[in-house]
Amino acid sequence: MDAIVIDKLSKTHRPAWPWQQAVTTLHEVSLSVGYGEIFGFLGPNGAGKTTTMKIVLGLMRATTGTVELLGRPALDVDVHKSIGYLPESPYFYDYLTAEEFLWFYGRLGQVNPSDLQQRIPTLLAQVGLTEARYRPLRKFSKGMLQRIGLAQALIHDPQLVMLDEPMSGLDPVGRKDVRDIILGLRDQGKTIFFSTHIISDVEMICDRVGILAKGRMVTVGSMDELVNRNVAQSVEVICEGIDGESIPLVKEVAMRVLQRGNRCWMALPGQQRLEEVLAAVRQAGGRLVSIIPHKGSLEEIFLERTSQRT
Amino acid sequence: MHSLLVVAQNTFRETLRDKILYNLVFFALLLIGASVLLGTLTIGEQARVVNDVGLAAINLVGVIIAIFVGIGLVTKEIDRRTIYTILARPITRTQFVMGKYCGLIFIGGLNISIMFSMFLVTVWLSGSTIQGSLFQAVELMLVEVLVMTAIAMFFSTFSSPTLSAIMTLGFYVIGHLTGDLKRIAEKSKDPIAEGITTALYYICPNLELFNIKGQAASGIVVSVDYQLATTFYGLLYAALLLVAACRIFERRDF
Amino acid sequence: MKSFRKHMAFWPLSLLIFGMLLGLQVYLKPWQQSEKKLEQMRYLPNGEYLRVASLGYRELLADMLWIQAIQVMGERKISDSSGQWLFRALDSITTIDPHFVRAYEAGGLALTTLVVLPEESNQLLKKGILNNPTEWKLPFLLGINYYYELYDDATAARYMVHASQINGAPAMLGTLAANLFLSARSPQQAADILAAMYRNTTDESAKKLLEVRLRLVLTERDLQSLEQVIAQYQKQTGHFPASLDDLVGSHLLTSLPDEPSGGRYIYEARTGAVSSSTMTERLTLTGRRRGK
Repeated sequence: MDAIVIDKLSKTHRPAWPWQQAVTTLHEVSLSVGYGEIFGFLGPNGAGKTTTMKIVLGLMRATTGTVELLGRPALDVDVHKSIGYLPESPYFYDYLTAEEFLWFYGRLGQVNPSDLQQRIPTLLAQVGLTEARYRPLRKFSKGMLQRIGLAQALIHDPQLVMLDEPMSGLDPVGRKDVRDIILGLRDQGKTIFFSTHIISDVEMICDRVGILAKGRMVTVGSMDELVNRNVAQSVEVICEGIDGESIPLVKEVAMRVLQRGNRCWMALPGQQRLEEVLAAVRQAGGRLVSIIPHKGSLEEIFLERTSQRT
Repeated sequence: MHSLLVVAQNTFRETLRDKILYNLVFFALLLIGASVLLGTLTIGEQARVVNDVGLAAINLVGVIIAIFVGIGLVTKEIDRRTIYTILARPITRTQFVMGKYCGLIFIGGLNISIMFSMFLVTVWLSGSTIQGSLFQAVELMLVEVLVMTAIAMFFSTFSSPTLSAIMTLGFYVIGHLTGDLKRIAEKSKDPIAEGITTALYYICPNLELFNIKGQAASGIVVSVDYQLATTFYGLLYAALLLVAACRIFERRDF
Repeated sequence: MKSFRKHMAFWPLSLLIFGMLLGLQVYLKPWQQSEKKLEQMRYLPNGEYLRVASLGYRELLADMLWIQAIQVMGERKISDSSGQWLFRALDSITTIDPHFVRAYEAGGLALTTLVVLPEESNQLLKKGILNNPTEWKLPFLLGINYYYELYDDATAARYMVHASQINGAPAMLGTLAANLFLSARSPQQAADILAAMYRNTTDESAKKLLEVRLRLVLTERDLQSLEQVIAQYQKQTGHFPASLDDLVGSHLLTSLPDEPSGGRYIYEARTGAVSSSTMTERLTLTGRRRGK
């Protein structure tokens, strides 16, 4: 059993007036997230990431399809006791102080007052807001709001944490802090589902990744699988003392050849014919300067997959 | 029930921190001004004038706060997206709506109680007797505030704040006029006009029922039957609107 | 399953509540009759306060009070105390919106037809005239009040003249005023009005009619003055004069007036009555007045 099971989720927004067209923002999205995983939900702006998360949390109703959280149907609000959620660019009650704010969300999450009393200072320290404990949220900066939002999502010690663009609007230090918190949560055995359109966040910490584009799931898989299976790796070869264009094999195999004086730069599509090419170069009297293998990045997959749909 | 109370408590705190109760200062000044100034202007009628001004101000302030705070509270949650994090908690939407409503009527009730106490002190200080009818009038004002808050909540669950405000104010005006409109249409003998006004009469809240300020200021007591039936009517109307509001809210996407 | 049950419960629950609301409305109806409206008006604050309190929506407030007032005016008969409240309401309405002509008109009428409160009616109409000097109906109604309710024909006639001089007033008001003056035994004023109307009229046929009327009024004036002199003669001598010439002889009259239409004045020595050869009927107002 997985922590999140999304099965063929579709969302068609009913138009306000009969003459308007219905807009479908999700097309049979399916994915599952195992217990203890960090799942990165990737997609360009407007792909439907937030919509999916809202349906998972019961903020929106799906047109068709089902969602199960922690083995129970997502429509049962009791399951929310074990779920923490940080929405995208969150706004909070700015008339509350940090402590009151966490107290309120803790009570809503059915945490007893005595537990809350202990948990609030710990959590504030964890997100780096100990100083701001008695300050009203009105006086918080954007980064501080993001941090207190994260604290709010964790106040009831949830099993599953859903974070919508948790790193947006943060400076590099803030991003690192959030990353550390997420990794720390995984160490405690929590499941983390977060969405982002920034690839480096995902590459560094995710166990598994799903890519959404135009309301459709493009790819789901572990980082290793995705990167190795899906990306044609390229190899850069630089030689001296030859004219690359004059060697027939190079002309046939290389994707690009650049000649500068007697130095030749070529890009090969993979390692399969590397030895052949090197042999041909040596035969022509060339000297090898360097070989640089390029491992495909998530970014390339992302760009490739999302652009296929446009 | 627990979640409902937490929301209610937070709503109450929000309204307090929004400094809504500052209106009480305004109210106090108005009362003192009315009793001192108008009292000297109309010799012999001071008691009437203090009663009139006091009751009217309690009613007006109560209703205005009910309408504007009532609309603001739910739409603000949606506009500022604070509702996302609330509904992601183990709380049903019905609990949320009812919690908001309870917090709000608690503020409204507190506000009216404080105003009424200030009013009674003014009456007492101005040397007139405190009549039982004043309590009756204020009780029905409280019921009216319950109804108005429910109307405001109802509209704000599905429309924009501005539209909600207009609709709620419209209901307020129509609610006070339906009885008259119906009687006029009955005399006009026009079946279409009569049909429309009769429909309006039974669908819109008959807020004029709660208005016994006039008699009360002169110390005329209404019957207990009337008091009870009207109160019950108001509570039922508010309940109907809340049921509808919860239903709409349950089906809404955020 | 849970949500299904919840959805099914919505409609029956709503209908049940709505049904109970209807029942309560019907139960509460007896408390909502028009007498209650009147009672509410009794507690109406002074119009001056209301005017200030209306915050610029003066006309709207007046209209709303007016809606209440016409419900009372729709009744066939109302008690005197109700009438007092009605007057208070109308007074407030017209204080809030002094140019609410309809309120003066209908109110002025209602206060003399539904109840007998001519003084209040007059007070309202006079306020109306003061604020709306271009409305001929208000002095007209006031004139009617003075004639029918207060039997003050002279004042009635003066208001009728006032009304007739306002633009848009029907021409017959002048004639009516003249008749009222006749009825008030001031034929000279009646003749003056008609003469003025004659001068101001350009329409030939109207001029002719006015001329005829003027002659009759002058005849009536002469007859009335002759009657006065005859009465004086009889007071001095104890008997009627034998002929009209006796009046000139006793220095009560310098000369006998000429009959304006070219006829002559006929004197009945036995009864002391005078009449004109051209006028078969005396000019008086024949109207039924209240209580007569």
